[in-house]
Amino acid sequence: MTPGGAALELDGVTRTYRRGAVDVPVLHGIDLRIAAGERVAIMGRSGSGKSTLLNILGVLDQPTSGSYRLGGATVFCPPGGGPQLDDRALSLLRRTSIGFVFQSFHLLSSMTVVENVGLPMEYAHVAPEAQRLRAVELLEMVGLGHRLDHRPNELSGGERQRVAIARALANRPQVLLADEPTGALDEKAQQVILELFSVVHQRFGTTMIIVTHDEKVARALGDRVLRMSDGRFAS
Amino acid sequence: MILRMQLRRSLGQFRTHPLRTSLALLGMVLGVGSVVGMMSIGEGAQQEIVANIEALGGNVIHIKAKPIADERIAELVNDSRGLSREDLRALRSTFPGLGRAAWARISSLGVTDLPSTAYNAQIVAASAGLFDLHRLKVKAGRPLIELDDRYGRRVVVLGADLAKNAFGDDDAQIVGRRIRLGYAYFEVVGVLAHKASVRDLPLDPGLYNQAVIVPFDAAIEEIAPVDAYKEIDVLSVEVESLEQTLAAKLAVGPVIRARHKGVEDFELVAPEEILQQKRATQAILNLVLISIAAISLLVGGIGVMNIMLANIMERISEIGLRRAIGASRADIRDQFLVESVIICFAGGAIGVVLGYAGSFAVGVAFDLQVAFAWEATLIAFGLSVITGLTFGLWPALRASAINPVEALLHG
Ligand SMILES: Nc1ncnc2c1ncn2[C@@H]1O[C@H](COP(=O)(O)OP(=O)(O)OP(=O)(O)O)[C@@H](O)[C@H]1O
Ligand SMILES: [Mg+2]
Repeated sequence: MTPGGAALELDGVTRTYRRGAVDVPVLHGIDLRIAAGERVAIMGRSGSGKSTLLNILGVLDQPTSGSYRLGGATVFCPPGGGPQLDDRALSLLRRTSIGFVFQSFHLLSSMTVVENVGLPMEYAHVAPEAQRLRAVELLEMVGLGHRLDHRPNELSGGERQRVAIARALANRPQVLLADEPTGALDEKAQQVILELFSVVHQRFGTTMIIVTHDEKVARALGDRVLRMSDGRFAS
Repeated sequence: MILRMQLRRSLGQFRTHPLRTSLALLGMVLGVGSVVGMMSIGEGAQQEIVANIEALGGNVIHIKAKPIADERIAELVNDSRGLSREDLRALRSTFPGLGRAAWARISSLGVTDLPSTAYNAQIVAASAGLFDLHRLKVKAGRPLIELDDRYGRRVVVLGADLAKNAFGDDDAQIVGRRIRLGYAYFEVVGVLAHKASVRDLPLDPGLYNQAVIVPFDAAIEEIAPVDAYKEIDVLSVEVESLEQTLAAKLAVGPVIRARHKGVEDFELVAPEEILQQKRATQAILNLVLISIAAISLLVGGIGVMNIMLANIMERISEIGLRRAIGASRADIRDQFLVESVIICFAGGAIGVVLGYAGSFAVGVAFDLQVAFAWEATLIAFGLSVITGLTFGLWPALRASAINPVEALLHG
């Protein structure tokens, strides 16, 4: 842990896309500290850079400049600031420290529910029996213990998102990143998911960063609500 | 578990895209099938050659008299008297350790009381050792023995077809009969078992099916007196093993040639040499077949590359998800490599089965001997794995290079 107990620490992070010959700056110098176990909601207009930021936090994308420390480890640093991690190391970091939840669930339709939840453990080389035990335990926690061998297309949207949350927790990540987790759900399903996030936070103390368009979701889940516009946090 | 899931996923390809997958597999199936089928036929041919050569004694070299035109005999006879037992004596004095030997003189049937159905019979005046060295077996009665010669017994052994044509199927009825050959009567003491004919051998074992085998001296006295030229038609000498026949031929040739003063009135038959020639022919054939197989595999490989690319395009969002939950680029690459290897392996397995089925069908249809070829089967599976790796590599690398953020935005 870094001094001050920050789980995540961004300093001057920018992200610029190249569109043809034109540079399109999307993030303009983001500074952000999130403490371990803190819940942060990020809001902002469409195109303001929320997903871009989340992908960098999730080590799925790399900043154009700036530095990123995750749980004390330097993930990205400015050139000359230390060794850059290679793809293997970055993947290992995603595998062990990060759980993703997406708006569109991203469950693999060729696999059963329990296999979907087991998949991250597959990459972490967890033994098959242990995988199944953990997957069943998580699915019971999200209330789907009776649907283990169903296919994702046999589940409702809310149920699918519960499977996705179970999957995100499979490798016991410190950080859970959710990009509009309730964006595709109706009121009732949304309520269930919100309660589930609270349960997860109580049980595991996971640091949570949730991108949402919905004030109610932000208020329910965020200890802190950050507002983005044009690649910056509005103060 | 990865492998089990991979296997199910790859098999799932067949279910979701049966046409595309079968077309891609066709090349693999044809390539591997032709390797296996052809090698199984080749292996069968090989075994048949060995069996054929064994039919005349694999570890025996044969010295065969070459026919000489009558008008040349007068001029040659001062240098060479043709093949004779003298040649064997000369060999024995040069090579004291020489093994067992046998000889025969073959002539056509003359005066006889055999029924006309047996007129294409051949008189084989033979030393008793011929039965052993030429692998002649009797199915009824007994073979000729040393004592028949020593006591000048008037006995014969009949070839299988001859006996049947002349006297019918009941071998017990045939043994003990007396038949007239020349101006003497001979007692039938045995009937030979049938011998498969192999026409392209220098000595066709099928000859014995029409033979009347008579003790050598009795035949010379009563039926086929020796002319001035050529006492015997074939002289066979046993050596240790099939492999040694070639060396024996090289050693024996000069001795006989010297005795015959360079007259080329004999030829040497070494089973090992025949075997080597047949193998050489087979090797050329194999080369042609392997080229065909290689082209089929190339086509199959391109087909597999094609479905792998289509496959990856369809699964971009899956690739993104896998990257997000912790798969490295190498993991993605390996996943698709394994998949293409599994597909190729499946194609190869079908090819192996069809290849053998095809070769056995061809074997039945054309009366060819075919055999299971372990090597070919292993090579075929090896080739399918290599094809899978080679042609799966580029798609797999493409899949691993996909940007996960963009991939996640797909579908
Ligand atoms: N691969 C890319 N190439 C070029 N521009 C991109 C790329 N990805 C995102 N952008 C641009 O970056 C900006 C921010 O995108 P981002 O997805 O982060 O927005 P967002 O805040 O998540 O919006 P939304 O609420 O609609 O999801 C947008 O203007 C978008 O067009
Ligand atoms: Mg977004």
